[in-house]
Amino acid sequence: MSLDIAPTPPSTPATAVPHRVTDPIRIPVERYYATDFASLEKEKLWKRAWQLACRLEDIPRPGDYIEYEVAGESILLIRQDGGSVRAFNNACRHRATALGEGVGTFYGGQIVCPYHGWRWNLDGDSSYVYARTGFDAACLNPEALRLREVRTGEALGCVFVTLDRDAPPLEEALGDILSVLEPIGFDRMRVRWWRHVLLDANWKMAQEAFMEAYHVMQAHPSLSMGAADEAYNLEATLGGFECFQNGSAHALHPTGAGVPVEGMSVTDYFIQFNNALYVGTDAYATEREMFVQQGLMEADIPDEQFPMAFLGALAEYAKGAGIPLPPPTMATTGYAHIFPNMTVLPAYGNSIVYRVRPSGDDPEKCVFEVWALQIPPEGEEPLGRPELEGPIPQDNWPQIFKEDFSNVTKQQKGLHTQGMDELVLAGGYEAMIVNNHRRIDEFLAAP
Amino acid sequence: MARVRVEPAGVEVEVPAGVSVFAAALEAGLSWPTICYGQARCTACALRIVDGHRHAEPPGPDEDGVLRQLRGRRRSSAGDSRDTRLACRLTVRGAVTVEKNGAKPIVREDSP
Repeated sequence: MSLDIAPTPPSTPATAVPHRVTDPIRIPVERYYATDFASLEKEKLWKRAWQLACRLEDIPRPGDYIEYEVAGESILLIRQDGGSVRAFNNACRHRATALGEGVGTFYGGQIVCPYHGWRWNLDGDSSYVYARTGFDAACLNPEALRLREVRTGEALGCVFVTLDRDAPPLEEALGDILSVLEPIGFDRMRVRWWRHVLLDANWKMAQEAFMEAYHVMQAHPSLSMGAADEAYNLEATLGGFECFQNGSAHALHPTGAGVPVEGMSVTDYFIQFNNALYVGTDAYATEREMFVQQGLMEADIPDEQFPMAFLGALAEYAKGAGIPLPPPTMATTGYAHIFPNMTVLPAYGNSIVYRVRPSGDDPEKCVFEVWALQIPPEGEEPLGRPELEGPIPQDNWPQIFKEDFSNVTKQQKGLHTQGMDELVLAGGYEAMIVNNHRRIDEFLAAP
Repeated sequence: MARVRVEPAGVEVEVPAGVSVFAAALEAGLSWPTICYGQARCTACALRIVDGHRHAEPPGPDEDGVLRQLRGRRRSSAGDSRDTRLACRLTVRGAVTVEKNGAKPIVREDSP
Protein backbone atom coordinates (compact mmCIF):
# COMPACT_ATOMS: atom_id res chain seq x y z
CA MET A 1 0.00 0.00 0.00
CA SER A 2 1.14 3.54 -0.54
CA LEU A 3 0.89 6.19 2.09
CA ASP A 4 0.45 9.78 1.12
CA ILE A 5 1.89 11.23 4.25
CA ALA A 6 5.04 13.02 3.14
CA PRO A 7 5.17 15.78 5.76
CA THR A 8 5.61 19.31 4.52
CA PRO A 9 9.13 20.66 5.03
CA PRO A 10 9.41 23.18 7.85
CA SER A 11 8.34 26.64 6.76
CA THR A 12 9.96 28.32 9.74
CA PRO A 13 13.01 30.61 9.49
CA ALA A 14 16.15 28.85 10.63
CA THR A 15 16.96 30.82 13.74
CA ALA A 16 13.61 32.00 15.01
CA VAL A 17 12.60 29.11 17.24
CA PRO A 18 14.80 27.24 19.71
CA HIS A 19 14.70 23.44 19.37
CA ARG A 20 12.74 23.76 16.18
CA VAL A 21 12.09 20.72 13.99
CA THR A 22 14.43 20.81 11.01
CA ASP A 23 14.04 17.20 9.87
CA PRO A 24 10.33 16.32 10.14
CA ILE A 25 10.99 12.79 11.38
CA ARG A 26 13.31 13.89 14.19
CA ILE A 27 11.86 15.76 17.15
CA PRO A 28 14.39 17.44 19.49
CA VAL A 29 13.79 16.24 23.04
CA GLU A 30 14.03 19.76 24.47
CA ARG A 31 10.61 20.48 23.01
CA TYR A 32 9.23 18.29 25.78
CA TYR A 33 11.03 19.79 28.78
CA ALA A 34 13.00 22.97 28.03
CA THR A 35 11.61 25.98 29.88
CA ASP A 36 12.54 28.40 27.07
CA PHE A 37 10.46 26.33 24.67
CA ALA A 38 7.55 26.10 27.11
CA SER A 39 7.56 29.87 27.70
CA LEU A 40 7.49 30.44 23.97
CA GLU A 41 4.55 28.06 23.68
CA LYS A 42 2.81 29.88 26.49
CA GLU A 43 3.06 33.27 24.80
CA LYS A 44 2.79 32.40 21.15
CA LEU A 45 0.77 29.20 21.04
CA TRP A 46 -1.58 29.14 24.02
CA LYS A 47 -2.33 32.85 23.95
CA ARG A 48 -3.00 32.81 20.21
CA ALA A 49 -4.45 29.52 18.99
CA TRP A 50 -8.17 28.79 18.92
CA GLN A 51 -8.78 26.04 21.44
CA LEU A 52 -11.58 24.01 22.98
CA ALA A 53 -12.92 25.87 26.04
CA CYS A 54 -16.03 23.87 26.95
CA ARG A 55 -18.95 21.81 25.71
CA LEU A 56 -22.10 23.83 25.03
CA GLU A 57 -23.99 21.64 27.50
CA ASP A 58 -21.60 22.75 30.27
CA ILE A 59 -23.54 26.03 30.37
CA PRO A 60 -27.12 25.14 29.37
CA ARG A 61 -29.06 28.04 30.95
CA PRO A 62 -28.67 31.83 30.92
CA GLY A 63 -26.30 32.82 33.71
CA ASP A 64 -24.49 29.45 33.74
CA TYR A 65 -20.73 29.88 33.61
CA ILE A 66 -17.63 27.74 33.38
CA GLU A 67 -14.01 28.76 33.84
CA TYR A 68 -11.33 27.79 31.33
CA GLU A 69 -7.72 28.19 32.40
CA VAL A 70 -4.70 28.15 30.13
CA ALA A 71 -1.27 29.83 30.04
CA GLY A 72 -1.84 31.51 33.41
CA GLU A 73 -5.03 33.09 32.07
CA SER A 74 -8.54 32.53 33.38
CA ILE A 75 -11.52 32.93 31.07
CA LEU A 76 -15.19 32.86 32.07
CA LEU A 77 -17.63 31.50 29.51
CA ILE A 78 -21.17 32.66 30.19
CA ARG A 79 -24.49 31.65 28.61
CA GLN A 80 -26.40 34.80 27.63
CA ASP A 81 -30.12 35.47 27.88
CA GLY A 82 -30.59 35.00 24.15
CA GLY A 83 -28.80 31.64 24.18
CA SER A 84 -25.45 32.75 22.79
CA VAL A 85 -22.18 32.36 24.68
CA ARG A 86 -19.77 35.16 25.55
CA ALA A 87 -16.41 34.93 27.26
CA PHE A 88 -14.55 37.40 29.45
CA ASN A 89 -11.17 37.70 31.07
CA ASN A 90 -11.97 36.62 34.60
CA ALA A 91 -11.13 39.76 36.57
CA CYS A 92 -12.92 42.61 38.31
CA ARG A 93 -12.05 45.91 36.65
CA HIS A 94 -11.41 47.38 40.11
CA ARG A 95 -8.69 45.29 41.75
CA ALA A 96 -8.60 42.14 39.62
CA THR A 97 -10.63 39.73 41.76
CA ALA A 98 -11.63 36.62 39.79
CA LEU A 99 -15.40 36.78 39.39
CA GLY A 100 -16.18 33.09 39.06
CA GLU A 101 -14.33 29.85 39.68
CA GLY A 102 -14.89 26.35 38.29
CA VAL A 103 -18.52 26.05 37.32
CA GLY A 104 -21.56 27.90 38.61
CA THR A 105 -24.45 30.18 37.80
CA PHE A 106 -24.76 33.95 37.95
CA TYR A 107 -28.33 34.50 39.17
CA GLY A 108 -30.51 37.49 38.55
CA GLY A 109 -28.46 38.28 35.44
CA GLN A 110 -25.68 39.70 37.62
CA ILE A 111 -22.00 38.93 37.82
CA VAL A 112 -20.96 40.16 41.26
CA CYS A 113 -17.49 40.82 42.57
CA PRO A 114 -17.26 39.21 46.01
CA TYR A 115 -14.77 41.85 47.19
CA HIS A 116 -16.41 45.29 46.86
CA GLY A 117 -19.68 44.40 45.22
CA TRP A 118 -19.18 45.74 41.71
CA ARG A 119 -21.65 44.18 39.30
CA TRP A 120 -22.01 43.46 35.59
CA ASN A 121 -24.80 42.20 33.34
CA LEU A 122 -24.16 38.84 31.68
CA ASP A 123 -23.01 40.67 28.54
CA GLY A 124 -20.15 42.31 30.44
CA ASP A 125 -21.64 45.80 30.79
CA SER A 126 -21.23 47.39 34.20
CA SER A 127 -24.51 47.52 36.14
CA TYR A 128 -23.39 48.79 39.53
CA VAL A 129 -20.43 50.36 41.28
CA TYR A 130 -20.80 50.68 45.03
CA ALA A 131 -20.19 54.18 46.42
CA ARG A 132 -19.11 55.71 43.11
CA THR A 133 -18.27 59.14 44.52
CA GLY A 134 -14.83 58.10 45.78
CA PHE A 135 -13.58 57.23 42.29
CA ASP A 136 -12.07 59.49 39.69
CA ALA A 137 -14.75 59.98 37.04
CA ALA A 138 -12.49 58.69 34.28
CA CYS A 139 -12.36 55.29 36.01
CA LEU A 140 -16.12 55.01 35.85
CA ASN A 141 -16.85 55.47 32.17
CA PRO A 142 -18.79 52.47 30.84
CA GLU A 143 -15.98 51.29 28.55
CA ALA A 144 -13.48 51.27 31.40
CA LEU A 145 -15.86 49.35 33.61
CA ARG A 146 -16.90 46.83 30.97
CA LEU A 147 -15.43 43.34 31.37
CA ARG A 148 -12.71 42.59 28.83
CA GLU A 149 -14.13 40.21 26.26
CA VAL A 150 -12.49 37.09 24.84
CA ARG A 151 -13.31 35.89 21.32
CA THR A 152 -15.47 32.79 21.05
CA GLY A 153 -16.74 30.52 18.30
CA GLU A 154 -18.95 27.44 18.29
CA ALA A 155 -18.34 24.18 16.44
CA LEU A 156 -18.91 20.46 17.01
CA GLY A 157 -21.09 21.08 20.06
CA CYS A 158 -18.24 23.00 21.72
CA VAL A 159 -17.20 26.55 22.44
CA PHE A 160 -13.71 27.51 21.29
CA VAL A 161 -11.81 30.59 22.44
CA THR A 162 -8.74 32.53 21.41
CA LEU A 163 -6.89 35.16 23.41
CA ASP A 164 -5.62 36.67 20.16
CA ARG A 165 -7.65 39.63 18.94
CA ASP A 166 -6.04 39.33 15.52
CA ALA A 167 -6.63 35.61 15.01
CA PRO A 168 -8.70 34.61 11.97
CA PRO A 169 -12.34 33.60 12.66
CA LEU A 170 -12.81 30.10 14.14
CA GLU A 171 -14.24 28.58 10.94
CA GLU A 172 -11.19 29.73 9.03
CA ALA A 173 -8.80 28.49 11.70
CA LEU A 174 -10.45 25.05 11.88
CA GLY A 175 -10.63 24.83 8.11
CA ASP A 176 -11.05 21.42 6.47
CA ILE A 177 -11.07 19.36 9.66
CA LEU A 178 -14.48 20.85 10.41
CA SER A 179 -16.11 19.42 7.28
CA VAL A 180 -14.35 16.11 7.90
CA LEU A 181 -15.78 15.83 11.42
CA GLU A 182 -19.21 17.41 10.95
CA PRO A 183 -20.87 14.21 9.54
CA ILE A 184 -19.99 12.42 12.79
CA GLY A 185 -22.60 14.40 14.72
CA PHE A 186 -20.58 15.86 17.61
CA ASP A 187 -23.27 18.51 18.09
CA ARG A 188 -25.85 15.78 18.79
CA MET A 189 -23.64 14.08 21.36
CA ARG A 190 -23.88 14.55 25.11
CA VAL A 191 -21.38 13.83 27.85
CA ARG A 192 -21.58 10.34 29.39
CA TRP A 193 -18.59 11.12 31.59
CA TRP A 194 -15.77 13.65 31.83
CA ARG A 195 -12.64 12.74 33.77
CA HIS A 196 -9.12 14.02 34.16
CA VAL A 197 -5.70 12.91 35.25
CA LEU A 198 -2.57 14.92 36.11
CA LEU A 199 0.36 13.41 34.24
CA ASP A 200 4.06 13.90 34.82
CA ALA A 201 4.70 14.55 31.18
CA ASN A 202 4.78 17.35 28.65
CA TRP A 203 1.35 18.05 27.16
CA LYS A 204 2.54 17.08 23.68
CA MET A 205 4.02 13.81 24.86
CA ALA A 206 0.68 12.94 26.46
CA GLN A 207 -1.48 13.72 23.46
CA GLU A 208 0.86 12.02 21.01
CA ALA A 209 -0.05 8.66 22.57
CA PHE A 210 -3.47 9.18 20.98
CA MET A 211 -2.32 10.40 17.58
CA GLU A 212 -0.97 7.13 16.21
CA ALA A 213 -2.03 3.46 16.27
CA TYR A 214 1.45 2.03 15.72
CA HIS A 215 1.65 1.30 19.46
CA VAL A 216 -1.39 -0.98 19.55
CA MET A 217 0.48 -4.26 18.95
CA GLN A 218 2.79 -3.82 21.95
CA ALA A 219 1.01 -1.43 24.30
CA HIS A 220 -2.51 -2.86 24.17
CA PRO A 221 -2.48 -6.68 24.38
CA SER A 222 -6.26 -6.73 24.63
CA LEU A 223 -6.50 -5.07 21.20
CA SER A 224 -3.73 -7.04 19.47
CA MET A 225 -5.30 -10.20 20.91
CA GLY A 226 -2.13 -12.16 21.38
CA ALA A 227 -0.75 -11.51 17.90
CA ALA A 228 2.96 -10.88 18.41
CA ASP A 229 5.27 -8.83 16.23
CA GLU A 230 4.51 -9.14 12.50
CA ALA A 231 1.60 -11.50 13.24
CA TYR A 232 -0.22 -8.28 14.07
CA ASN A 233 -0.43 -6.79 10.60
CA LEU A 234 -0.33 -3.05 11.07
CA GLU A 235 -0.99 -2.45 7.38
CA ALA A 236 -4.52 -3.80 7.79
CA THR A 237 -5.31 -0.92 10.14
CA LEU A 238 -3.79 1.81 7.98
CA GLY A 239 -5.36 3.97 5.32
CA GLY A 240 -2.94 6.86 5.41
CA PHE A 241 -3.50 10.29 6.85
CA GLU A 242 -4.78 13.61 5.68
CA CYS A 243 -2.61 16.29 7.27
CA PHE A 244 -3.75 19.88 6.95
CA GLN A 245 -1.55 22.98 6.85
CA ASN A 246 -3.28 24.32 9.97
CA GLY A 247 -1.91 21.45 12.07
CA SER A 248 -5.11 19.41 12.18
CA ALA A 249 -5.18 15.93 10.67
CA HIS A 250 -7.11 12.69 10.54
CA ALA A 251 -6.63 9.02 9.76
CA LEU A 252 -8.32 7.68 6.64
CA HIS A 253 -10.24 4.42 6.21
CA PRO A 254 -7.97 1.37 5.98
CA THR A 255 -7.31 0.52 2.36
CA GLY A 256 -6.21 -3.06 2.88
CA ALA A 257 -8.59 -5.97 3.30
CA GLY A 258 -8.70 -8.34 6.25
CA VAL A 259 -8.01 -7.95 9.93
CA PRO A 260 -4.68 -7.22 11.59
CA VAL A 261 -4.61 -10.39 13.67
CA GLU A 262 -3.19 -13.28 11.66
CA GLY A 263 -5.57 -16.22 11.28
CA MET A 264 -8.55 -14.50 12.89
CA SER A 265 -11.93 -14.20 11.19
CA VAL A 266 -13.40 -10.75 10.54
CA THR A 267 -16.32 -11.56 12.82
CA ASP A 268 -14.20 -12.75 15.72
CA TYR A 269 -11.84 -9.80 15.42
CA PHE A 270 -14.67 -7.27 15.28
CA ILE A 271 -16.43 -8.74 18.30
CA GLN A 272 -13.30 -9.11 20.40
CA PHE A 273 -12.20 -5.60 19.49
CA ASN A 274 -15.49 -4.14 20.69
CA ASN A 275 -15.39 -6.29 23.84
CA ALA A 276 -11.85 -5.16 24.65
CA LEU A 277 -12.75 -1.50 24.20
CA TYR A 278 -15.94 -1.89 26.24
CA VAL A 279 -14.00 -3.24 29.19
CA GLY A 280 -10.79 -1.32 28.55
CA THR A 281 -12.08 2.22 28.10
CA ASP A 282 -15.57 2.46 29.62
CA ALA A 283 -16.08 4.96 26.78
CA TYR A 284 -16.61 3.01 23.56
CA ALA A 285 -18.16 0.49 23.11
CA THR A 286 -21.10 1.19 25.42
CA GLU A 287 -24.03 -0.94 26.58
CA ARG A 288 -25.86 0.14 23.43
CA GLU A 289 -23.37 -1.29 20.94
CA MET A 290 -22.76 -4.39 23.08
CA PHE A 291 -26.53 -5.06 23.07
CA VAL A 292 -26.71 -4.72 19.29
CA GLN A 293 -23.68 -6.95 18.87
CA GLN A 294 -25.14 -9.58 21.20
CA GLY A 295 -28.25 -9.68 19.01
CA LEU A 296 -26.13 -10.74 16.01
CA MET A 297 -24.32 -13.59 17.75
CA GLU A 298 -26.76 -16.28 16.62
CA ALA A 299 -27.42 -14.76 13.18
CA ASP A 300 -26.05 -16.46 10.07
CA ILE A 301 -23.86 -13.71 8.63
CA PRO A 302 -21.08 -14.32 6.08
CA ASP A 303 -17.80 -13.55 7.81
CA GLU A 304 -16.68 -10.60 5.67
CA GLN A 305 -20.07 -8.93 6.08
CA PHE A 306 -20.22 -8.88 9.86
CA PRO A 307 -19.09 -5.25 10.33
CA MET A 308 -21.70 -4.03 7.84
CA ALA A 309 -24.36 -6.21 9.47
CA PHE A 310 -23.45 -4.63 12.80
CA LEU A 311 -23.76 -1.12 11.35
CA GLY A 312 -27.13 -2.06 9.85
CA ALA A 313 -28.40 -3.49 13.13
CA LEU A 314 -27.16 -0.45 15.04
CA ALA A 315 -28.93 1.89 12.61
CA GLU A 316 -32.12 -0.16 12.99
CA TYR A 317 -31.83 -0.07 16.78
CA ALA A 318 -31.20 3.68 16.73
CA LYS A 319 -34.25 4.26 14.55
CA GLY A 320 -36.45 2.33 16.98
CA ALA A 321 -35.00 4.07 20.02
CA GLY A 322 -35.23 7.58 18.53
CA ILE A 323 -31.47 8.05 18.44
CA PRO A 324 -30.59 10.56 15.68
CA LEU A 325 -27.57 8.59 14.48
CA PRO A 326 -26.03 10.24 11.40
CA PRO A 327 -25.54 8.02 8.33
CA PRO A 328 -22.18 6.20 8.38
CA THR A 329 -19.43 8.25 6.76
CA MET A 330 -16.46 6.96 4.77
CA ALA A 331 -14.81 10.38 4.91
CA THR A 332 -12.91 9.67 8.08
CA THR A 333 -12.32 6.96 10.61
CA GLY A 334 -10.39 6.11 13.68
CA TYR A 335 -9.01 9.31 15.03
CA ALA A 336 -8.54 12.97 14.26
CA HIS A 337 -6.63 15.86 15.73
CA ILE A 338 -7.72 19.46 15.98
CA PHE A 339 -4.71 21.69 16.43
CA PRO A 340 -3.25 22.28 18.93
CA ASN A 341 -4.55 20.03 21.69
CA MET A 342 -7.85 18.29 20.93
CA THR A 343 -7.92 14.70 19.70
CA VAL A 344 -11.05 12.71 18.93
CA LEU A 345 -11.71 9.00 18.52
CA PRO A 346 -15.21 8.69 17.06
CA ALA A 347 -17.23 5.49 16.58
CA TYR A 348 -20.85 5.05 15.49
CA GLY A 349 -22.60 7.83 17.38
CA ASN A 350 -19.98 7.91 20.12
CA SER A 351 -16.69 9.65 20.53
CA ILE A 352 -13.85 9.82 22.96
CA VAL A 353 -12.43 13.36 23.12
CA TYR A 354 -9.07 14.29 24.62
CA ARG A 355 -7.87 17.73 25.64
CA VAL A 356 -4.37 18.26 26.99
CA ARG A 357 -2.91 21.43 28.50
CA PRO A 358 0.25 22.30 30.39
CA SER A 359 -0.26 22.34 34.14
CA GLY A 360 1.09 25.66 35.35
CA ASP A 361 4.52 26.60 34.03
CA ASP A 362 6.12 23.18 34.53
CA PRO A 363 6.81 21.80 31.02
CA GLU A 364 6.82 18.29 32.47
CA LYS A 365 3.32 18.32 33.91
CA CYS A 366 0.01 18.36 32.12
CA VAL A 367 -3.73 18.18 32.67
CA PHE A 368 -5.21 15.41 30.57
CA GLU A 369 -8.99 15.33 30.15
CA VAL A 370 -11.14 12.63 28.60
CA TRP A 371 -14.78 12.96 27.55
CA ALA A 372 -16.96 9.97 26.68
CA LEU A 373 -19.64 11.34 24.35
CA GLN A 374 -22.69 9.64 22.90
CA ILE A 375 -25.73 10.65 20.90
CA PRO A 376 -28.69 10.12 23.25
CA PRO A 377 -32.26 9.29 22.14
CA GLU A 378 -34.14 12.44 21.21
CA GLY A 379 -35.83 13.96 24.25
CA GLU A 380 -33.66 11.92 26.62
CA GLU A 381 -30.68 14.27 26.80
CA PRO A 382 -29.25 14.33 30.33
CA LEU A 383 -30.72 17.17 32.38
CA GLY A 384 -27.85 18.18 34.62
CA ARG A 385 -24.54 19.77 33.70
CA PRO A 386 -21.60 17.42 33.11
CA GLU A 387 -19.31 17.19 36.13
CA LEU A 388 -15.55 16.94 35.78
CA GLU A 389 -14.36 13.91 37.79
CA GLY A 390 -10.89 13.66 39.26
CA PRO A 391 -8.02 14.10 39.16
CA ILE A 392 -8.21 10.31 38.95
CA PRO A 393 -4.90 8.60 39.76
CA GLN A 394 -3.32 6.90 36.74
CA ASP A 395 -3.80 3.43 38.22
CA ASN A 396 -7.54 3.87 38.67
CA TRP A 397 -8.27 4.35 34.95
CA PRO A 398 -9.66 1.59 32.73
CA GLN A 399 -6.96 -0.74 31.39
CA ILE A 400 -6.36 0.79 27.95
CA PHE A 401 -5.99 4.34 29.27
CA LYS A 402 -3.72 3.05 32.02
CA GLU A 403 -1.46 1.45 29.40
CA ASP A 404 -1.24 4.71 27.45
CA PHE A 405 -0.62 6.94 30.48
CA SER A 406 2.05 4.55 31.71
CA ASN A 407 4.00 4.77 28.44
CA VAL A 408 3.71 8.55 28.37
CA THR A 409 5.35 9.00 31.77
CA LYS A 410 8.06 6.46 30.85
CA GLN A 411 8.81 8.49 27.73
CA GLN A 412 9.14 11.66 29.76
CA LYS A 413 11.67 9.88 31.97
CA GLY A 414 13.66 8.55 29.01
CA LEU A 415 13.88 12.00 27.42
CA HIS A 416 16.45 13.08 29.98
CA THR A 417 18.86 10.21 29.48
CA GLN A 418 22.33 10.50 27.94
CA GLY A 419 22.44 10.28 24.18
CA MET A 420 18.75 10.87 23.75
CA ASP A 421 18.78 13.93 21.52
CA GLU A 422 15.73 13.41 19.40
CA LEU A 423 12.67 11.23 19.00
CA VAL A 424 12.57 9.34 15.73
CA LEU A 425 9.18 9.18 14.08
CA ALA A 426 7.75 6.93 11.40
CA GLY A 427 6.40 9.11 8.63
CA GLY A 428 4.15 6.23 7.62
CA TYR A 429 2.53 5.84 11.02
CA GLU A 430 3.11 9.00 13.02
CA ALA A 431 2.43 11.68 10.42
CA MET A 432 -0.18 13.44 12.58
CA ILE A 433 2.42 14.03 15.29
CA VAL A 434 4.91 15.38 12.77
CA ASN A 435 2.27 17.70 11.36
CA ASN A 436 1.36 19.07 14.78
CA HIS A 437 5.01 19.92 15.56
CA ARG A 438 5.40 21.65 12.20
CA ARG A 439 2.39 23.85 12.93
CA ILE A 440 3.58 24.60 16.48
CA ASP A 441 6.84 25.93 15.05
CA GLU A 442 4.90 28.20 12.72
CA PHE A 443 3.08 29.68 15.71
CA LEU A 444 6.31 30.08 17.66
CA ALA A 445 8.06 31.75 14.73
CA ALA A 446 5.33 34.34 14.24
CA PRO A 447 6.26 37.88 15.33
CA MET B 1 -43.38 22.72 39.91
CA ALA B 2 -44.37 23.74 43.43
CA ARG B 3 -46.06 26.83 44.84
CA VAL B 4 -44.17 28.90 47.37
CA ARG B 5 -46.06 31.58 49.26
CA VAL B 6 -43.95 34.55 50.35
CA GLU B 7 -45.06 36.50 53.44
CA PRO B 8 -45.56 39.25 54.45
CA ALA B 9 -45.91 40.39 50.81
CA GLY B 10 -48.47 37.64 50.32
CA VAL B 11 -47.32 36.71 46.81
CA GLU B 12 -47.06 33.21 45.36
CA VAL B 13 -44.22 31.99 43.18
CA GLU B 14 -44.11 28.87 40.99
CA VAL B 15 -40.83 27.10 41.71
CA PRO B 16 -39.72 24.42 39.21
CA ALA B 17 -37.97 21.31 40.53
CA GLY B 18 -34.27 21.90 41.04
CA VAL B 19 -34.58 25.69 40.84
CA SER B 20 -33.99 27.75 43.96
CA VAL B 21 -36.72 29.88 45.53
CA PHE B 22 -34.49 32.92 44.93
CA ALA B 23 -33.99 32.21 41.22
CA ALA B 24 -37.70 31.46 40.75
CA ALA B 25 -38.67 34.64 42.58
CA LEU B 26 -36.43 36.80 40.37
CA GLU B 27 -37.81 34.99 37.33
CA ALA B 28 -41.34 35.86 38.56
CA GLY B 29 -40.42 39.53 38.77
CA LEU B 30 -39.94 39.83 42.51
CA SER B 31 -37.22 41.83 44.11
CA TRP B 32 -35.43 39.81 46.80
CA PRO B 33 -32.71 41.08 49.13
CA THR B 34 -29.26 39.97 47.99
CA ILE B 35 -25.73 41.20 47.71
CA CYS B 36 -24.03 38.21 46.13
CA TYR B 37 -26.80 37.33 43.65
CA GLY B 38 -27.16 33.66 44.37
CA GLN B 39 -23.62 32.61 45.27
CA ALA B 40 -24.47 31.32 48.79
CA ARG B 41 -22.17 33.93 50.28
CA CYS B 42 -23.92 37.06 51.56
CA THR B 43 -26.85 35.54 53.56
CA ALA B 44 -28.99 38.59 52.67
CA CYS B 45 -31.50 36.30 50.95
CA ALA B 46 -32.08 34.13 54.05
CA LEU B 47 -35.75 33.29 54.70
CA ARG B 48 -37.73 31.50 57.39
CA ILE B 49 -39.91 28.52 56.56
CA VAL B 50 -43.23 28.90 58.35
CA ASP B 51 -45.25 26.11 56.76
CA GLY B 52 -44.76 23.06 54.51
CA HIS B 53 -41.42 22.17 56.14
CA ARG B 54 -41.55 18.62 54.86
CA HIS B 55 -41.50 19.87 51.24
CA ALA B 56 -38.17 21.63 51.66
CA GLU B 57 -35.13 19.75 50.31
CA PRO B 58 -32.35 19.55 52.91
CA PRO B 59 -29.42 21.99 52.62
CA GLY B 60 -26.32 20.94 50.70
CA PRO B 61 -22.77 21.41 51.99
CA ASP B 62 -22.27 25.00 50.75
CA GLU B 63 -25.57 26.21 52.24
CA ASP B 64 -24.91 24.30 55.45
CA GLY B 65 -21.58 26.03 55.97
CA VAL B 66 -23.08 29.48 55.48
CA LEU B 67 -26.08 28.71 57.72
CA ARG B 68 -23.74 27.63 60.51
CA GLN B 69 -21.98 31.00 60.36
CA LEU B 70 -25.32 32.73 60.33
CA ARG B 71 -26.48 30.93 63.48
CA GLY B 72 -23.17 31.68 65.16
CA ARG B 73 -23.60 35.41 64.86
CA ARG B 74 -27.26 35.51 65.94
CA ARG B 75 -27.47 35.53 69.68
CA SER B 76 -31.00 34.26 69.75
CA SER B 77 -33.38 33.33 67.01
CA ALA B 78 -37.12 33.20 67.02
CA GLY B 79 -38.20 29.60 66.62
CA ASP B 80 -36.24 26.65 65.31
CA SER B 81 -32.93 27.70 63.74
CA ARG B 82 -33.35 24.88 61.20
CA ASP B 83 -36.17 26.91 59.64
CA THR B 84 -33.71 29.55 58.46
CA ARG B 85 -32.58 28.78 54.93
CA LEU B 86 -30.82 30.53 52.07
CA ALA B 87 -33.37 31.37 49.38
CA CYS B 88 -30.62 31.02 46.76
CA ARG B 89 -30.11 27.37 47.68
CA LEU B 90 -33.54 26.27 48.90
CA THR B 91 -35.33 23.92 46.51
CA VAL B 92 -38.77 22.49 47.23
CA ARG B 93 -40.83 19.49 46.17
CA GLY B 94 -44.24 20.79 47.29
CA ALA B 95 -46.11 23.76 48.68
CA VAL B 96 -44.14 25.81 51.22
CA THR B 97 -44.82 29.11 52.94
CA VAL B 98 -41.84 31.29 53.75
CA GLU B 99 -41.33 34.60 55.48
CA LYS B 100 -38.98 37.17 54.01
CA ASN B 101 -39.03 40.86 54.71
CA GLY B 102 -38.13 42.89 51.66
CA ALA B 103 -39.22 40.26 49.15
CA LYS B 104 -41.89 41.92 47.03
CA PRO B 105 -43.05 42.53 43.49
CA ILE B 106 -40.93 45.11 41.69
CA VAL B 107 -42.92 48.34 41.33
CA ARG B 108 -42.10 49.71 37.91
CA GLU B 109 -41.73 53.45 37.61
CA ASP B 110 -43.82 53.52 34.46
CA SER B 111 -46.74 51.70 36.08
CA PRO B 112 -49.69 53.86 37.13
